[in-house]
Formats: sequence, C-alpha cells, structure tokens
Amino acid sequence: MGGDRAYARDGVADDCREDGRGRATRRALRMAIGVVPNANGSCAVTLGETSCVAAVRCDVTAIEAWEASDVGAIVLRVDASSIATTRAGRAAAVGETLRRRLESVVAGRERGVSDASGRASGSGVDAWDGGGIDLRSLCVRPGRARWTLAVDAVCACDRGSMLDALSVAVRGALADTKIPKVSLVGVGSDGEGGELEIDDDPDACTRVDVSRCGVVATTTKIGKHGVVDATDEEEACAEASMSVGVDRDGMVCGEFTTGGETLDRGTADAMRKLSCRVGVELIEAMDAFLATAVAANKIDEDEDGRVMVVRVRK
Amino acid sequence: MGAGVEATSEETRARFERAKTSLERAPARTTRPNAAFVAPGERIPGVEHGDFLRGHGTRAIATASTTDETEETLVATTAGVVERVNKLVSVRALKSRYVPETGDVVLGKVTNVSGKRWILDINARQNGVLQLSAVHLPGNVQRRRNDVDELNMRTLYAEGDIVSSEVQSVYSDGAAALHTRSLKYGRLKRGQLVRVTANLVRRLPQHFHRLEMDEFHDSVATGTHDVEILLGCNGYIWVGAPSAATAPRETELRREPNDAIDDLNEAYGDKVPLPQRENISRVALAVRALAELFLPISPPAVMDVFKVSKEWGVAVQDMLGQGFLTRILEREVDKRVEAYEQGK
Repeated sequence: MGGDRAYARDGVADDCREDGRGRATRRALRMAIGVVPNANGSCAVTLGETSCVAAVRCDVTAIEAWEASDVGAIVLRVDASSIATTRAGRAAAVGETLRRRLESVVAGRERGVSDASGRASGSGVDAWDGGGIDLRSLCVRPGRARWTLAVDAVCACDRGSMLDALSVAVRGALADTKIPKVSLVGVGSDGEGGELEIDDDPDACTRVDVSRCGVVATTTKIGKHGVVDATDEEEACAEASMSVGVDRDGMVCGEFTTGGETLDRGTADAMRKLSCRVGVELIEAMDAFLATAVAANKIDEDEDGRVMVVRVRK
Repeated sequence: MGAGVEATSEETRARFERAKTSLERAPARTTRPNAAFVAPGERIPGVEHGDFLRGHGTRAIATASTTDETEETLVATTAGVVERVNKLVSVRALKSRYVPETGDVVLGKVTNVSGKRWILDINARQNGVLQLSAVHLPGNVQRRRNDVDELNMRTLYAEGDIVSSEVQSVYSDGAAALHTRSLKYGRLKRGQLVRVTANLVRRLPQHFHRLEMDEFHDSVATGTHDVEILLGCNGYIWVGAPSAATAPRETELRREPNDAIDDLNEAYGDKVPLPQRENISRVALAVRALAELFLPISPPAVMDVFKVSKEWGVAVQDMLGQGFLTRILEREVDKRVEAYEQGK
C-alpha cells in the first residue's frame, strides 16, 4: 500500500480527512436550476469538485395498446464521457451502470411488495406505481396520450461520489420541470381523433411532485470506518462502498455495494444507517434550496406561440 | 458547509467576478512584461509579412492584401502565451500535460513494475520510466545484477507508491527516463498528493521545502508540527510530514549518504499527530485554492494563503469556498498594486 493511502486511512481513523472534513461531513453542495434554457427543467450540481448537469425534456407520446394505459414514463440517460471520469471500463458501460442505479432510486422505486404467496409482485411498468414519482400524474389521457420525461444527465467532472451528485441533479431537474397544460379537443363521438392543445403559459404549468423521490448517499469504507461523500482519492483506497438510495422519510429505496470486500452484517447496518442520515440531510438541504429557487425562477414571458397544437397519433 | 446548499447568490458571484476583473487589470507581477496572451482564433501580435516560422499552437492563414500575392499571418489554436525563438512563433497552452525536461524534479505514482524498470505516472503524455539501474539500493549496497534483484524490486517501490525523482534524460519520443540516485529522492510516506496543472509550478532552484509551523503552536520541541512540501515540476505536489527529503543539515550529516529515504520516518513511526495532520491538510488546501484561482504555486505563496486562512479563522474544509477564494483574489490584487507602487 502506498504511503499516501496509509496516511489517508489513518486520517479517517482520526476523523480528520485529507481535505479537513470529518467522516460524516460532505463537501460543499452548490446547485442552480434552470441552467439549460431549451429544456423544461434543468439543474446543475457541484459537490466539491464533482460536477454534473441534468436536463428534462417533456414530450407527449401516444400510449400503445400493449402499454399500461394510465401512466406516463420517465426515460433516463446518463452520459459519462471518458474525459470526465477516470472510472475503469468503457464510458458507455459506466454510464449505463449509473443510469440503472439512478433509475431505480430517483425515477421509480420498485418496492418489494410481496403478495400472500410470498412471491414478489409487480414487474414492468405497473411496479412504478409506488415509485418516487407518481407516474399516473404524467398521464395526459388514459389509453391515448401520456407525458414522457426524457431526463439527460451529463457528468462534467468526476472527483468522487458521482452517483450522489447525479441523483441530486436529476431530482433537482425534475423539481424544476414545468409541464405545460394540455387539453384534448375535438374528440369524435367514437373516442377517436382529436388534437392536443399544449398551453405554454407559465402560470398554467404543473410541476412534478418530487417529495417522494429519493437521492443517493454513498458511504465508503476505509480502514475500520465509513466516510460519506468520498473524493476520488479516497475511493481509490476504499475497501468497499455502499450507495443507498434514500427518500425524505429516510426510507431505503435502493442499495448497491461495490468494492472487493464482503461486508458483514454489523458493518453493512452501520454504513446503511450513516447513508440514510446523510441522505435525509441532503434532501432537507436540497428542498430548502428548491423551495426558494423554484419560486424565484423566472420564466420568460414569451407571448408568441404559447399555444401549440399537436395531432395525436392514433 | 455541510449544513445546506452553499448560497450561490448573485452578490457573492458578483464579488468574485469583480475580484477576477480587477486582478486582470492589476499590474502584472511577471518577469516578462510584454508576454502576450492569446485565445484560439486570435491573431498573434507582432507577426507580419510572412516573416515567421509556424510553431505549435498556431495556424497560418491567408489574409487579404492590397496586391495580388497573398500574405500569411498566424492565429492561435490554443489559449496560451506566445513564445518566440528567433523566427519560430509558438503558443504554449495554459493548461497542458507536463513536458519533461532533463533535470526537472518530478513526483510520480508507480503504475507498473515490469522487468528491470518501474513505470510511473508523471502527468506527462507518456509514462515515466525508472530503470532499476537508476536507483540506489538501501544502505548504498552494490547491486548484483541477477534475477533475485529483479524479483525484489517491489520491496523498493511497489504499485501505488509515490516516488520523488529527477528527469535523467528525455527519449526521442518525449518520454522521460527518471532516476532517484540521491538522498533527497525516493518513496514518499506520511502525506498526501495534490494534483494541479503543471504550468502552475515554476522551475525553482529548490523544489523541496519545509514550512515552519512553530509560530502557530506552543510545543516544547521545535519543528514537530512542520510540514514539508515537495513541488514536482509535473504538477504533482506532495504535502506531508517532514522526511529526509527536507532534513536540516545536521540530521543529514549523521546519515549515510544514499540511505533509503524512509528511515527518518521510522523514527516517528508511521503515525502523524493530529495537529500536524491539520497543518498538512491546510497547506494542501492552500495549494488547491491557488490552483483553483490559477495563481502560481510557490512556497511563499502557499505559506501566505496558509497564514491568512488561520488569521481569518477559516476552517480547512471551507478553503475552497467562494468566499475564501474571493478574499484571496482581492488580497492578490492589493499585493500587486502595492508592489507596483513601490516599484515606481
């Protein structure tokens, strides 16, 4: 083990990390919403030197016959370019891993609901019912049209705890998202045809309810202790790490471990508890920011072409 | 910090931007007052009538001329400083990988141990090579050139170790051959590595420094809280507890020349006491704060940031916050103006 790693490990044991933080202190979190002008909602996050941006684009899409008839959809994409991240592996694969983890925590919390026979029920779209975002609120007209929120997250610089920063960015972008008011007009007597009227009036927009949406807090085990919000140097000398998706009430909605070491139950419990505590603090800090920022966020009052008409494909 | 989302209010941002602007307008503290900065696409000043040789970071473009024959001029392709050697005009990028030069002190991280040599990451375009023949064995024993010797290479430097060394020569393809054949160089322990842009570290007569911390502590033994800082020309900077690399002369005399660098560490044990650890963190954050503001990194500059951060009562973890950075910028402007006034 290199001399710097031994030093870092001793520092964690002394509760004095390399950048002066204690074990349970995270780095400075900076957020800004509305940073992407042509997106419906966006959020830029820097956590220490780690930074990322997420943007949401809303589209009305037709509900096909084989799909659940009364829910909208959230499509997540994570771009982890090899310039931004030093993680081993192909950038596409790294991005896909981050995407899968984020999706299960932020967009849809698949609760392990088991029915009487003990079988886990719910798979596919229906399982999103209990998710962090109520997908039913994204339905425009049951069986006809729905909102699809395309969430694009881009890692700008990975200096540790990328997943945590991404989860904050995605949640912030969803909170910032303004979904235009939509009404279906001119439907024939047989229930077919018709046009969608999309009203871009900022006052008529609805917001996505993110109150049940979670964030990820990662606890990294270095030596005998767990630290939160590890830097990339600390991640390099970690034995194991546990990322816990946690919602506002401290409920676990996703859990991933990485690293070579097997965690015994006591350690895992301690790490989970620390992650939950930090995650709840993170959400509280975030919501305090969002409450003022969303209210203050100015929407440009463009009067021209506010009402857009889209023909429903069906 | 840690409690909430750091306020990026208009006020703090405006103050930071104002400080940056005033630094741009402040009198330069440079030895080359007529150095020209150029942005990509910008015409390089002072290049006329095709009287130049095109170097790196530039591109020749034809300009409209009054006569039929076309004239050429140079535009920059990177953001950087214009450098001229006779007719050759090139632009040296502000942020680039390290370009090794013979005699540079560099720090590297061992990435690979292969037959007869170590491969080190030195922040250059290619990895540095440290030959087994370019190191001194502990206790200055003569090396036997056999298989056992090669098999024992990991006991000297293993993967992940941080090693201070000097560039012995540069191969024709630009890769660096390193050596550690001096008392000063070797494996580093009890400290942390800070990575900055290579261009922020100037070539100095002395790259290894010990920062004295006695004035901040009332300890019985002097020098117990000192911090050593090793400035690698490649932008890798080591901040740690004092070792043989910066040992005072009297300690050096007791030591056999070419001893392994570690045995002074052994006297302390591998542990670092907490007050010293805090000093190390604070110095490391001072380096990072300077790098964040793209100010040159030198021991006096680092010590200055360290001192003011203590004076202002800034916690170590807040040293990269915009508030502290703004104050450092404003201080730098004041210092430059003052130096200019005195020089007049």
